[in-house]
Amino acid sequence: MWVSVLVIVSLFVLWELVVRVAHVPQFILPAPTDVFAQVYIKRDALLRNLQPTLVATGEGFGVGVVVGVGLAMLIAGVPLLKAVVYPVVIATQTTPKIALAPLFTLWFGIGLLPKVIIVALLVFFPVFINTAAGLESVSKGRLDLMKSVNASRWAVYRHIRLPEAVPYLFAGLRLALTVAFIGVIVGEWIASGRGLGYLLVLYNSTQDTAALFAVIFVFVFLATVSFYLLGWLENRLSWQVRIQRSQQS
Amino acid sequence: MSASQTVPSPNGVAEPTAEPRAFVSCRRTGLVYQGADGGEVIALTDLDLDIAEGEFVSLVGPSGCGKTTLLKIMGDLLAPTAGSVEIDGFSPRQLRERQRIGQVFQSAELLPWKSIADNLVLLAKLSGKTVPREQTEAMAETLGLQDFLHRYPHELSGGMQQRAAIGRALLLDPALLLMDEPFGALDEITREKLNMELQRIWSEHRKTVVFVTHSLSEAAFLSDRVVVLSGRPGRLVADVRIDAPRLRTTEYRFSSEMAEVVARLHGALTGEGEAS
Repeated sequence: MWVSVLVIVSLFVLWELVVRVAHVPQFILPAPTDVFAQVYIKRDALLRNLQPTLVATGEGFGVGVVVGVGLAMLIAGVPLLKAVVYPVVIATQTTPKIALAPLFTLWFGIGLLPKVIIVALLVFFPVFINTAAGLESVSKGRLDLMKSVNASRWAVYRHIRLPEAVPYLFAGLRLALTVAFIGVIVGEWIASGRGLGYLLVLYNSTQDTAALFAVIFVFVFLATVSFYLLGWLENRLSWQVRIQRSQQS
Repeated sequence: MSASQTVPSPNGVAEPTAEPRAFVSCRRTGLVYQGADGGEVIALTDLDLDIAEGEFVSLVGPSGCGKTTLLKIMGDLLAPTAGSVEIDGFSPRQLRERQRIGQVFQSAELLPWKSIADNLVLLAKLSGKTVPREQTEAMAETLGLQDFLHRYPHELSGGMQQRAAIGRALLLDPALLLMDEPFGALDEITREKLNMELQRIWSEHRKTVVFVTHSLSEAAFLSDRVVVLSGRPGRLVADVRIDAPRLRTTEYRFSSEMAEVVARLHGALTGEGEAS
């Protein structure tokens, strides 16, 4: 933890030095202090636009996770559905979703909905694939054990498959989180008059590079916080983390 | 019961005698499966075997002799392609569906997300039994796990995990306990220790046990009878009764009496063994 902080602070110092010493023009690369100043100056605009971005990311993430986990559970429970679901999933994933964004604007207008759909589409896939893999990664020995007491499919599901899938789910969620932020920015570039992504476009067009960086800083901060939240959640919920932790200590 | 009460023959080894009533009876049991190259592989052929109630029988033989196959047939994890198996008047499937077969595998197969206490009662609960706390605690006590009930499997040594697996099977109160090389992955000292404990637990519960092992000395130490199978196709080549009285001690393990049993098993294995 302290090492990470030290590294980040050193990078900022280095950055500041390079900009100041080499007299880099601010519209090319502003110094970190200028960027932080912009974060403060533009705090109203940033806060105002933070909210729709958060909402779109949160809702899209939620929808993507629920659909991804739900569908994975469905095909694990009803193997017949696998043949139906997989081709559709692969088809949606081979379509470049970013390219669909303008289409969503056409269909759903400008606002929250197209952003949520883009985020959800991006989030869905890693969650679905990982959870499905987790639900299927059951050792023969454990299945034999359950079979030896004639355990029902539901019992196998509840006692073996679901807990087995938890670490996989978290691996999927971590991937999903990164693509969720990509999705929301792209959505706001194309299909929104609000949000941090929209601010990026705005400040870019006015060549206000320091403000542009201010938005990026806020984004990075947001993503970092989300990652830590997810890690915290994983610490509480994943049995695998508990094992890893005890083996380190 | 019968074995421990029989008077030992002078060398401690006697030919098997007819049991009054077989608890497990295999008749011309065989299993043939499709090999990777498309050809038929005979895993087990024409096996006749009777096991009395409460008897501890070991199956030994070279790799691929079908001992694990036979165990899996008894536990209804595999279906025989020839012959039949009857256990206490039931087919293996009927017995499994009645949740009266206890299984212990080489790997303990404890669930890492459940505490030892939860692991111990898992199978019993799944078979619809309610296991009172005291019973779990008593079982843990028997297994030397009383201080680990709230720990998780990864915090236990391999030997302790295997003990928990045995306890989990015993809490089912099975009619037949099937053990597939349960101590195969453990070091020699731990293995000997667990042999002693298994003998003690078995003598308390008197379950009918079928025990697969690679170790002749483990088989000779634990068993009332050792059944020797030959390799490919798996056939029965010797059935050796061991009448040494219970509880057998560490002295017995290193006695000339047991050495003779081991030598005899060894002879049966190498003398009759056929190259595939």
